[in-house]
Amino acid sequence: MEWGVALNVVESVETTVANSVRLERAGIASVWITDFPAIRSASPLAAAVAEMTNSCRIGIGLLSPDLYGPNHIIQQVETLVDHFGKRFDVLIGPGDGPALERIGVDRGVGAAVVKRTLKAATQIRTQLKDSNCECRIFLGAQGPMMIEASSSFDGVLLNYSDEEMIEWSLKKLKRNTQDFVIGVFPPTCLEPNPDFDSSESIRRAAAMVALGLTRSVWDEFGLESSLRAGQRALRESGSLDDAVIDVIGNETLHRFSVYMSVSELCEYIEDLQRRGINLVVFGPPLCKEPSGIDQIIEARYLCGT
Amino acid sequence: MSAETTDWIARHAETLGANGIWIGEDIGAGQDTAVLTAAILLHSRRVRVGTGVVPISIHNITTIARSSLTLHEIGNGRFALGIGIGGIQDLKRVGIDLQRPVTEMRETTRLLRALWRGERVTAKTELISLDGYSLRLRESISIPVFFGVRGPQMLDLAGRVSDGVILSGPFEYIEKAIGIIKRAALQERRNPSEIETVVWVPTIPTFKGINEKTAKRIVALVVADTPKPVEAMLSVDHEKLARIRNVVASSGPKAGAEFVDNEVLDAFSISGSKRYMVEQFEDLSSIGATEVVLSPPHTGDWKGVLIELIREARRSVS
Repeated sequence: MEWGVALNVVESVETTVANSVRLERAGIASVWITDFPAIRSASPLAAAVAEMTNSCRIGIGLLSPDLYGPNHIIQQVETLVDHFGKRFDVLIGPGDGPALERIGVDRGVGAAVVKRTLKAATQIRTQLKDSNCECRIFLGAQGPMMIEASSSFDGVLLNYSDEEMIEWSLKKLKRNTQDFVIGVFPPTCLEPNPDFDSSESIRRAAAMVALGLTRSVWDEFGLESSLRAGQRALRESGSLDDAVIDVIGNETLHRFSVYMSVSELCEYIEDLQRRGINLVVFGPPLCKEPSGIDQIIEARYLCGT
Repeated sequence: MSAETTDWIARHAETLGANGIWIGEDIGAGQDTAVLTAAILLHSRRVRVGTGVVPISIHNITTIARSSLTLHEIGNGRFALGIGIGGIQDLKRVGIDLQRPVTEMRETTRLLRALWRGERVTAKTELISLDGYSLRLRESISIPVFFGVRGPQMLDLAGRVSDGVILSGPFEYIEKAIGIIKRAALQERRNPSEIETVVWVPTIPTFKGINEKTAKRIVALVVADTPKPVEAMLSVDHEKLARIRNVVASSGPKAGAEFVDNEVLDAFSISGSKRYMVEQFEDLSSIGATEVVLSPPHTGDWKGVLIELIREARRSVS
């Protein structure tokens, strides 16, 4: 199992670089530098991380082709590889729709978004492979079209943590090479005594993922009523506030997050491995606080997988 | 330029005696500006590193704001953001036809500064649509904004709102441009000397490696790319310039070079012997340039050229 940790929400460059160094020393195989709506840009930040680390892989993204355009994403990856070596992965996906709309990127809705993203991702893959740029290209996927299409790339990062959702995704996947990486990228919070109902940050992160879920799969997992109510509340409120999160409900939110103790995490990782998952990227809010870094390092040591 | 070339420049700039490194952006070509700037900041210690320029027409303003914040932190305050509209031909190629470029430059500058002060911004312009966007900064940051602009209205705006300008063009134009900037600054009750003037013209070292034929070919290309408002500010024979432009368009720079004489060569580039080039830098300084950029093309023994030219300039200053 490849362990990855996502960094860069609101932390300074200095903090992200220091955390990357600690994570690399602790044996974390890859650090992922998130991008928009994160406040700092992933690619220059990835350069700073590469400068101060030696061997860990560095993922950038999710990068949305609607925000950057495929050519700009290609330029970013090629320049990173040219300057800092063959250590980079890139995650492509449609991105956070409501957040993009607020900065003037009108993505449209439905299948058109997925088709446009796939077209851009294919161009990125083709051009990077043609220029012998050695990097792994992942698709960020939730819906069936993106999951099925991901087999043409180096891997997929599923925005799922729930057993039923992961199993459903694996059935959709058409893995065509042994090297294909199946990863999960859940919002994560590790607590000695987990109390999901009172944890604001993990509930918010889970709500963001849940509300981004493709409507076509709501029914599949029995989420129709809670997510429909959540989306209605979000439209009325205009922002992801507590009222919207409450409407979705903790039962649904819990299914979109990894919120457990370190020892429970070891069992969870073993379970993922049994199912055929070979990469887990622990997402925000885990590393917003220094304690999150301590916890994931402890988990890496304890779980030993 | 290759990563190897830019990395060498980053690692040697300080020992050579340079004060800054400026990074251009060709729309859709070359290295990514933000990553390259990061690499250069990481591989240098004291020099200022600036973009010259990031075209605001092709990047979302939040991308410019976020990249700048990241580079500001990577460089511990050594980063300067140069912005411009982008070359007309390049923008046409990517389907951008900006109606009010001066307004966009003014608004982009105003909004970037508001974001760096930590404000929540809502704005709608031809290029920008922000709905309550914020960088969630706890402390305000200050990043100098340089304008890479050419036309009189843009130069006027630069004098009113920018921290510096990056000028490119013939000597005569640069002198007039500096005049426009200073006048605007005074009208705005600003001290004109607070606005830095970076001059970036083709430096063609015919004293080492590049022959005059190549120099004339480069200048033919520069003439062909010179915008009409800049040409209008020159006393160089306009018919001569039109002929060069037309020949470059129909038969390429090699053919255009046949019509580049010494007057045009001198007006549009800094070339010649080491001593003569340094004298031209001094001339630029005397008309108000605060920094001169030794620009590409870096061909042949470009490292030797950089070393000798900067050494000569330093000797001349001391």
